[in-house]
Amino acid sequence: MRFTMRKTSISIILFLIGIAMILPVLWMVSSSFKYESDVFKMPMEWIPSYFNPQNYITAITEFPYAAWYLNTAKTTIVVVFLVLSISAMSGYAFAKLNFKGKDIIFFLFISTMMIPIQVRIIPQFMMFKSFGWINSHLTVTMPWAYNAFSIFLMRQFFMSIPNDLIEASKIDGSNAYGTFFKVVLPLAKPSLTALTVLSFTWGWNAYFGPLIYINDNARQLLAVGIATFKAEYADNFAIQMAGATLALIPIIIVYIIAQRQFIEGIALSGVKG
Amino acid sequence: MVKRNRMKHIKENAVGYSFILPSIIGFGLFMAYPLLHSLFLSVMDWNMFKGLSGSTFVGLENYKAVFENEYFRAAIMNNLKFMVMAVPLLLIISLLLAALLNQKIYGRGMIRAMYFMPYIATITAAAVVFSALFHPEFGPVNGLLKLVGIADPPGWIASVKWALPTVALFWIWKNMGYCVVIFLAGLQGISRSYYEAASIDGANKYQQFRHITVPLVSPTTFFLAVTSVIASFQVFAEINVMTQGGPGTSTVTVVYHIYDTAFKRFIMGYASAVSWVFFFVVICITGLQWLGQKKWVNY
Repeated sequence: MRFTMRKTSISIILFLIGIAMILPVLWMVSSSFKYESDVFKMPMEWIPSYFNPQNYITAITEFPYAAWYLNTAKTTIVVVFLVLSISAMSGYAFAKLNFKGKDIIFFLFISTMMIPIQVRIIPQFMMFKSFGWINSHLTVTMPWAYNAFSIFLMRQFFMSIPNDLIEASKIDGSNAYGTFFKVVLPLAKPSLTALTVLSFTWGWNAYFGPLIYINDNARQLLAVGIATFKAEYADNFAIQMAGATLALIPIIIVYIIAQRQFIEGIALSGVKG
Repeated sequence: MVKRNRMKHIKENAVGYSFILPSIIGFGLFMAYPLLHSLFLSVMDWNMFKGLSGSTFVGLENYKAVFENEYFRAAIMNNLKFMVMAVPLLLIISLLLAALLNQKIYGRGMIRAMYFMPYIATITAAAVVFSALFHPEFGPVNGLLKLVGIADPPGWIASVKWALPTVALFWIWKNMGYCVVIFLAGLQGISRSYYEAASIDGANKYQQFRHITVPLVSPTTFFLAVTSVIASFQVFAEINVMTQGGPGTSTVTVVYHIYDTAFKRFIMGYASAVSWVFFFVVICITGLQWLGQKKWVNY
């Protein structure tokens, strides 16, 4: 009996903190349907007495929303694919394959985790300019071909796979690639899920790159596009909230559908440091 | 026999390199080359309006200019203040919540999902929402404070004193879910038997947390401390959307300073020097953390 009391009270406290965490999002959705004059009315109306769709109509007609979504979806998928495939292959090589200079290369890679991206952003800008990549989505996707953090993450996971398993696969006649794709990769599902979540948020939240490399509004990504709302409708918070809601709803839907695997994936993988 | 071994060796190397080849190319193109180029730029006086031919070698002049620039000094101070305000608070709250979540509770999945949601949310959209919530005149946060009798609530992002703490608050909110999940992973690696033994010895929940959980989860805490410090130094989208470095220089950070000089005023040489000084500061702080870990991290 005492145990249930304790369990219930902790659950309630944690639930209330959870509500506090999502309160800004609830307020955003609620305000996005209000008339501007009601947004800051006190005491607050959580469910507006009438739903005003005008903010959404203004947002969608005055800003290239559909293009921003598509661009962001496209670049995010490419980022996830690049990060997963390249990091898994490298992580496996550093964990289980033998080749000359392996430790030195791995150390070199890991030490780059401390280098802030800002140190390379200026030469990278010049490089992309000379490639003719300005305004192209290659500028926001291709740099993910190298990502030390996720290589490290995958290596940590592959280290935990028993060597016997790899030996057994070799004896069965698989070559290194066969072993990797058919035996090892399927086992890496929790880590790959975790990395999918992380790289998805990296891709979806990309801000610094597109801000610098993309200036054509129709080719812009969501995170930068949304920020223009605040500048253009500085005094209209209802429209700002509609714009923010349009940016958040798709990601929240994806998240709710996949949340179990999302969080389990991170919690179960080797992200322990 | 020797020959066969050598063949095997060559083949092994080739297979290994083929697996890391894409990373090597990415490393060269997006890390090694830009770093060297950036080092070169940092000793050049180069304004993008002049074109490359207008650049001249100036030695360490840019570095001297960095230390003499009051914006840079304000920026580095703000970054340090931000780190001190945000990182410990983030880690303490996350660890406490993770420890509570790691017990048998109702609706665990849903609660974890609620905590993790801000981390997923589009950063600029969330920053737009926070700016409205903390609006000094009409914001609901101040509305609420007035309602409970605080006649003169803080000006939040419009106030020199409160702007940086407000951004820190936003940053903590945004990153807490991630830290909670990572802590949960660490906590799950602690064997139940320690707690059972402690409770037989009569240790209460607080003592168990203090003497079992905190020391045994310390490798995770260390990992998060190092990565959060680096992340706190890179705070940018929050600043650019919420405050643009203002009011005054109260929220200028080093990354914002780099962005401002490089991509708004196109002074590339100086900005490159700032980025190298910045890198050096990050390295020093990370190095100090490595040295300090012996005192409190248990492997």
